[in-house]
Amino acid sequence: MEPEQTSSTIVFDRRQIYRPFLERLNPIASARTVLEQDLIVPPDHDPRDLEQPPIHVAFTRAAELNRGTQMALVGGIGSGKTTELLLTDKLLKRHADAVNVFVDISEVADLRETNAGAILAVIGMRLFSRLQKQGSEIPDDVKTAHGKLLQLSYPSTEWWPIESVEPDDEEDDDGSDVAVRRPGLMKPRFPPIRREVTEVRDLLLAIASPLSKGDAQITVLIDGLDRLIQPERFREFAEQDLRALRGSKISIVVAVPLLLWFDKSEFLHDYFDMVKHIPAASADPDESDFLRRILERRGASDLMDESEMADISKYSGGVLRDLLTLARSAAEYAYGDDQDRIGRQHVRSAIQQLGKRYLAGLGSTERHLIGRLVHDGYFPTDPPVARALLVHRQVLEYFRDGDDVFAVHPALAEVMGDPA
Amino acid sequence: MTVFAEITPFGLVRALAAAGPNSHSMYLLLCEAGDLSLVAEDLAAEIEVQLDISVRSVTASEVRERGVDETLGWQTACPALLLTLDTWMPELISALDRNITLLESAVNVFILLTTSGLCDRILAAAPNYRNRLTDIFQIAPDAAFADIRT
Repeated sequence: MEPEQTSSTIVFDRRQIYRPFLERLNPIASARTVLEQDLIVPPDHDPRDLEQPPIHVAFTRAAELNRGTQMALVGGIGSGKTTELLLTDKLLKRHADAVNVFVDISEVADLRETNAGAILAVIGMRLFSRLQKQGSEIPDDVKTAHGKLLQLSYPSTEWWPIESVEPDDEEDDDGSDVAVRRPGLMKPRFPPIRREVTEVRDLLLAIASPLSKGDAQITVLIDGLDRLIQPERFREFAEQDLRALRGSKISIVVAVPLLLWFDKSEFLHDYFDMVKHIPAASADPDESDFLRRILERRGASDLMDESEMADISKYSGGVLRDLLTLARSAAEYAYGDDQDRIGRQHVRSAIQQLGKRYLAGLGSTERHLIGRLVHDGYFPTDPPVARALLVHRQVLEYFRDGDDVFAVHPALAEVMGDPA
Repeated sequence: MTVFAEITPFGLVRALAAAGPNSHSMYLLLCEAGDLSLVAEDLAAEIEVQLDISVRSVTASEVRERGVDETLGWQTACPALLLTLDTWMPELISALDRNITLLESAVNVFILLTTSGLCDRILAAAPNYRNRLTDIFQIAPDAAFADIRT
C-alpha cells in the first residue's frame, strides 16, 4: 500500500515579519543588550564639533592619559547618554589593566533618600566584588574596610545600655562652650566635604588599594543621576562624593541632568575637567545620515521605503529614543492594518501619537513660550516653565553653526497647529 | 484635553503579541473612571489568554495601604504589571519616574491604567516615564464582553 499523501501547507504568520524588527527596535531595551547585539551605530565625531573625536573616544583617551580626571556627559532624556557611557566602557577595556565600574545609581539606591557618600559606598562595594572575582587573596585590611563600608551603608539597629545614651534635651546643657559660626572673608567655591563622606572615601580607597598598587586604570561610569532632573540634588552629589575622589587616580564619567547645561552658575565647567553635551541629532538628511543609519542597523529598510525612513528621522527631532519609538509604533500600526510593509499612513499615525504625547499637559504659558519660539525664534531658558519644556523634550536644543538653538519637537509641532 | 487614538484590550494585546515575548513595552491607557475595573479585568484576561503570561495587578488602594515601594517591588521580576490608578498620587508617580529603569529591567509589559483627567498630571510629573512610553491610548472595555456582562 502506498503511503498516504499529506499536504504540508505553510501557514503565513505575519508576526514573524514584525517580531524580529520590533525586538531590534525596542527603545527601552537594556542598552547593554543592544550593544552586545551590535545594534549601536557609534557616532563619527563629537556632536558639537565635526573635527573632534566622538564623545566616548574623548572620554576614553582622557581616562587613559589623565587618571583621576572627572568628566560630565549632559543631554536630554532619550538623547543617548547611556549608550555613550557603554561605548566608553567598551573602549576602555582595550587595555588589560582597565578596571571599569559601571553603576546605574537608581538600580542600587532610591535617589530620593540617598545621602551624600552613598555613591562612594556603591563604588567601594563594586570594587570589592571585582577583587573577589579576580580570585586572588584579599588582604585583611581590605576586608575590614569593606565590612565597615557595609556597616555605614545600610541601616541597622544597635542595642546600647540606657545609661550610655545622653538625653537630647537642651535643659541639660552644662553651660560649656557652644559653637558660634564666624563668616570668613573668603567664600569657598564648594562646601566642605562632610566627615561621613571622608570616612567612606577612605574606606573606598583602602578597598581600591590592591588595584592601585598594581597600577590599574580605574574608571567609574555613573548613570542614573541625570534622572534626578533637579540640578541642586546633582550638585550635592558632585560637591561631596565626586570631589572626595579628587586626587585619587580614579577617573569618573557621570551622566548629568540637562538643566545643568543651562545653569547660569557655570557649575559644570567650573567643577568638571571635561564636559560633553549631546544635543538633539540633526534630522536633516542633507546634514547627516546618522539617524537613517540607526534605522537601517535595526532592519528598517526591510520593511519600509526611504521616504518613510526620512519621515521617521525628521519627526523624531533627532531624539534617538523617539526615532525608535516612531519606527516601532509605525510597525505596530502596519501589523494592525494586516499589512506586510510599513506605509506612509502608518508612519503618519505614529507621528500623530507621539505628537499628542508631547501635547498632553501644555497650558497657556507653555503655548505662549512655544509661540514665541516659532514666530520670533526667541526662547528664554531661565523661566521654570521653559526649563520644563526642555526637560520634557517638547522643546529641543540643537547645535548649529557654532550656536545652541532651540526648536519645537517636530512631532509636537505637527499636532499643535499654530501655538499662538 | 488631548485625545489619543482609541484601542480595546483585545487590540492592545494583539499588538503586544506581534511584538513578541522578548520586547519590553510600557503603555499609558486612559478610560472613563467607571470603566477602570472592567478594563483592568479585560486586559488581564486578554494578556493571560493571548500571551500566556500571568499579570500582576496592583491598585491605588493597595499602594496607599502598603506603600509605593513594597507594593510595586521595583526589582520584582514579572512578565506583566498592570497598575490601576483612580486618584492622583504624586508620591507614586514621582517614585515611578525615579525608578523607571528598574521597572524596565524587571517587567516586560508595564501598563498604567488611569483616567483621562489624570493623564496630563502624570505626564507633567514624570518626564523619564513619558519619554519611555511605548504609546498612550484611550481604552474602553471590549464591546463583545461588555454586552455579555450587561
